[in-house]
Amino acid sequence: MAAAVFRATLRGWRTGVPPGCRLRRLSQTQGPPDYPSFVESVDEYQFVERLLPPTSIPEPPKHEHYPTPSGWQPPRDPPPNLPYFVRRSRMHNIPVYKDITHGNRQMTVIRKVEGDIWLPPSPPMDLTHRQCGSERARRYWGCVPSEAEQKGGPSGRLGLTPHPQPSLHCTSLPTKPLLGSHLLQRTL
Amino acid sequence: MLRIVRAAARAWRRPTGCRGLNAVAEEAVPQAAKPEAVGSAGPQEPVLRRCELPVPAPRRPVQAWVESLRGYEQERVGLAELHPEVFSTAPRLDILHQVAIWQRNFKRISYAKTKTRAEVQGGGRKPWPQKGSGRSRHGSIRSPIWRGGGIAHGPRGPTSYYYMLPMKVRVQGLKVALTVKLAQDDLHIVDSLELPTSDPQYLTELARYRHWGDSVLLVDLAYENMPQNIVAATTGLKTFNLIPAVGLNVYSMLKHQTLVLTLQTLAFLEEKLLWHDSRYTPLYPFRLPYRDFP
Repeated sequence: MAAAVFRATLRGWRTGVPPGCRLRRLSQTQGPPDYPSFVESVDEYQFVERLLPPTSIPEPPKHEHYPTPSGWQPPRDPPPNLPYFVRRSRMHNIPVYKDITHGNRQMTVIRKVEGDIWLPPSPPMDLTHRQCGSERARRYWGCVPSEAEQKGGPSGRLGLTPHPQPSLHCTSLPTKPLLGSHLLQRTL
Repeated sequence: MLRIVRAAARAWRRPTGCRGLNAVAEEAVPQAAKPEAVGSAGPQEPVLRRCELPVPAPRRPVQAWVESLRGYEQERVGLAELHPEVFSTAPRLDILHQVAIWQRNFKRISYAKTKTRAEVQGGGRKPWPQKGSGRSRHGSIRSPIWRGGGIAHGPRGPTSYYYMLPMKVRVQGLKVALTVKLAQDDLHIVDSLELPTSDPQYLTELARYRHWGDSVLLVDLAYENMPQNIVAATTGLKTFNLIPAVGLNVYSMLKHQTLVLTLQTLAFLEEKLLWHDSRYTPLYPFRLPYRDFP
């Protein structure tokens, strides 16, 4: 009897458990085994989804008055009855850009032109012909349309083309305001 | 309107022997005839396909005949409208060239390697003294001017020719290739790739009858729903190749003389190629999740 008590106290002393308590497994200390396990929920993924960015560019909303405060005007609907058409950029803007080469040659580029721009009654580049300087300068800089341009180049860019002759490059023109944007009011 | 189209379609369709009964039946019940089952070899309802995606205002859809592979003479089973931005873009041959050359070169790794004078075995010692022997002066027997010596400027190790063209250039290449194929009468639209037999001879004879050319590229939508007959027929043939829609590429289109698309493939290609015209530039690769893609 004394030996048994001595053994029990010794056991308790060595493992740190007070005498009288048996060691139990962890699963038995969790509680009764019919507790429900964790629940998976995917409803909260909506908070992640609304942070993901979209991929496709939306159509601009309808405004009451045009031009909008930023100066934007939607394309004319239906498009005007001209032999050429200038498409908007993917952000719905007018495709007129500035270009500078050799440090001093400033050009205006009108991209996304489709159709024939040299047919009568009036090509869109009348103003450039007048302002380009003398006839000789205009011929040098290619303001006179070349054969290929009359057929309509395949790239559809005015101002810079993949052809070797430059067309519609006018260095004597000021770059502000952008040439061509007021001309394109007729078409856009 | 559809009746007029149906009557017109019936007017110039040439009935063959096996369809004689159906033709008689059709003439007996002229206007109220219901369309027949797709599986029969008789005359079918004309197939009309409109563009699903909106066509921008000044341009109008391009049109092409829809054919059928079920009979030799079943050309012009219907009419399909093709989106002009995909099938009638500017014929940019420079973009075609860029994309075709890229397709050949970006996978290329050249494994050629030669040994330089440092790597050739031997040649560490001066063969003879600098002066006195009467021979020209040399430092090692493996220099490039020696027979058996190293190569001076040879290929060094595996060389990769990998480069990527911008995504929009590759997309434009596909559009230009489809445009060029259509413009040169090398594009044929088919309602589906179902053949009456799995005999390769039938396919070659049909191609010869319709003057398709020596090589034909057949494009279906996906591997899962390809009909067994066409798979069996093209397995044995070298110049008639069957690919899924995701395998369409500029090099294959230029390599084969004729391109045959199904209507489902057409819708798939138009949707995928036109998405690039109105998308933002990617903030992160498109393989990661976006709100509305895929």
